[in-house]
Amino acid sequence: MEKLLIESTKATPLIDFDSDKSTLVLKGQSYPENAFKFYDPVFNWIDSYLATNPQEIHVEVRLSYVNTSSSKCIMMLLESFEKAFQRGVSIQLNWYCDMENESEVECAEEFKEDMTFPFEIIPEAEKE
Amino acid sequence: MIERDFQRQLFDKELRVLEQALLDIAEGKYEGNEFLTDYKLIVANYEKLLTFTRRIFKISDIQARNLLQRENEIKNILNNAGQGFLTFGQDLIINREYSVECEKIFGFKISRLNILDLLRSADEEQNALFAEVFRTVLESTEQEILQQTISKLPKVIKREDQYLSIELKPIPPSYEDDNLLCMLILTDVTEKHKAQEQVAFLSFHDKLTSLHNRAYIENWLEDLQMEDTFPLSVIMADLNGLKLSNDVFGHIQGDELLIRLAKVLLQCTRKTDIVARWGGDEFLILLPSTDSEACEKVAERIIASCKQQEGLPTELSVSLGMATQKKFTKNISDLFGVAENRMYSDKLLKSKDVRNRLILSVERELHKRFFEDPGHVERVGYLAFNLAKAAELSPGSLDLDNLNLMTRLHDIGKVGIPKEILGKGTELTNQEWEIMQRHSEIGFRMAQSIDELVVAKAILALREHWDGSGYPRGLKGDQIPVLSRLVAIVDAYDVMTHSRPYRPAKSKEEAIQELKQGSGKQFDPSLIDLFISELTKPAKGAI
Repeated sequence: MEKLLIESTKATPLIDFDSDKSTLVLKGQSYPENAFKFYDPVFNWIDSYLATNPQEIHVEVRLSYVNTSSSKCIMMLLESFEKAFQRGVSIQLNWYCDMENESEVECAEEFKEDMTFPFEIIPEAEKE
Repeated sequence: MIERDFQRQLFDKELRVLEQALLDIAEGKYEGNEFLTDYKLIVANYEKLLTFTRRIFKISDIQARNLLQRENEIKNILNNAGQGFLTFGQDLIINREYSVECEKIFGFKISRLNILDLLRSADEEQNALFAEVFRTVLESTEQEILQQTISKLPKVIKREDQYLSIELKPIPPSYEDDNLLCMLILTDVTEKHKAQEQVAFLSFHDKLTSLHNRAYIENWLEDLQMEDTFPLSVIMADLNGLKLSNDVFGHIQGDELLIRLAKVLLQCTRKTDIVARWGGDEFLILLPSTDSEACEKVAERIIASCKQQEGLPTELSVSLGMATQKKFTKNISDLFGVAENRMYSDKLLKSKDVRNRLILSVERELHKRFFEDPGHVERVGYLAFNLAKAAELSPGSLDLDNLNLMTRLHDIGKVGIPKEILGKGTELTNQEWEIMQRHSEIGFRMAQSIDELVVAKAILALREHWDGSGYPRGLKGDQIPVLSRLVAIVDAYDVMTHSRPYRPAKSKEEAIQELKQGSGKQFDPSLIDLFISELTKPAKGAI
């Protein structure tokens, strides 16, 4: 399966999904004019990838700002992971935050709510 | 953190509808209804939508709050940095956000203005330079060209009465869809610039008179003299009586004399001449391309102009010495020496006249400030002259000129005593009395400064007592100069027999009685006897 690589812009995050390594990376800010248009290829790629019945998926997220429409899209992504997890796919999601920025942690916790797969909120410094 | 209760309240109506629908389904209310399956699907999606919406609202609120906080923090930093920060892009239009210092500097809101219009001044060359630099910086991507172009900008620009330091920084785009921006950092350096100008000015100028100073002359001598400056004439000028003026009238008045003389010297010379304060009360004028005759005329103009000056405590008086070097030479310090010696000769020639004028000025000041009636000096002079005659003092021991001057100046030191103490009606405190006693020494110094040494010593000893109980040195008997002993008696008598603002006059008899009591204690007993005998003599011509 082909990788999905979308370079980051001022308003959209880096999307680096690699099926060979089973790693999905989202990094940057997300406030595109049309969130659904931006995330539609991402959803499609995920759906196709999950259809291949991967054994495990490692997800890395570092989003400093996510606008309202993008939040909905991220939740939809998380919902897909949750469904896959329910089906028995091993999922590990690491959500990196600037721990000095309380609101980033709050948002991460909000995204984490209702997710039953391993969802870890990690201070940014610990990443390196 | 957004409270769950708040979220519950915000979506209360929707949640109640959902909860009721879920309850109905659970209780089998619509069991058997053909739409039940669709209804369940709608309810499930409604629940999901509501969950999404509530969480997204919360995330959105958190992020908005965070953004505003960060914006405030950044604004606080920029707005309190004391510098104007603004950005503009290819269209040269200033962006909406800039630090408040920009408004302070320009006095109005600057967003959406053209940066070139904002910086435009009467200096067309500078306007064109800004246009060229900004265009190049916004178009070029090569670091070297950028740096070279930016370095063409002046470090400081003048805008109306302000001096602004400017720094241009290109802000490269962080993302592909970003445009290159220019940041201009403006700092109001008006005060600093003025201070630097002042320092530069003071390094070659005299602060008081604003004339050039000695350093400037020395610099000129080293670097600036050229052959066409010859014949070069020099005038050395010395302000007469500055020390006395400072002592008697105070340093402000002394400074006024210096300032006025500086003005006179400037008025009497050409713009091409160099007038400098050489130090203290000495001035130096360099007259390029000026022969001795023309120099002489400048000197005459200076003397005449000094005489015309009004509103000064003493007549403006200056001693001058001139010298001229006809042919080019690098070493003209000898020329200064010649001018200086001639100036001292002139000073010597004028000294008596200058002294007389100064004494007159001091007397005027004394009458103005001191509480004696105007006749006091005259009466003391008359009484002293007669007492000296009666005492048959030999001309050798008592010069009549000195006696005359002593009677005129015996109270001169009192101009240095505060009026509040001099005119105090009640008894002086110990501290006030200590200040009062200083008038002997002040008077001594003043008389010394006009080279009247005999009178200076007599003034110093005027308050000494025959028995040694006086001040300032506690001299006794013959140690006290006869001039002092004599004037002390007639002064005391005249003061006693004339009223003061704070006490009435005593009768002649009462005054004589007091003098008798002071005989051998405060006063010379033999002179007291003579004085009283002269006072009580019935014959015509007695004191």
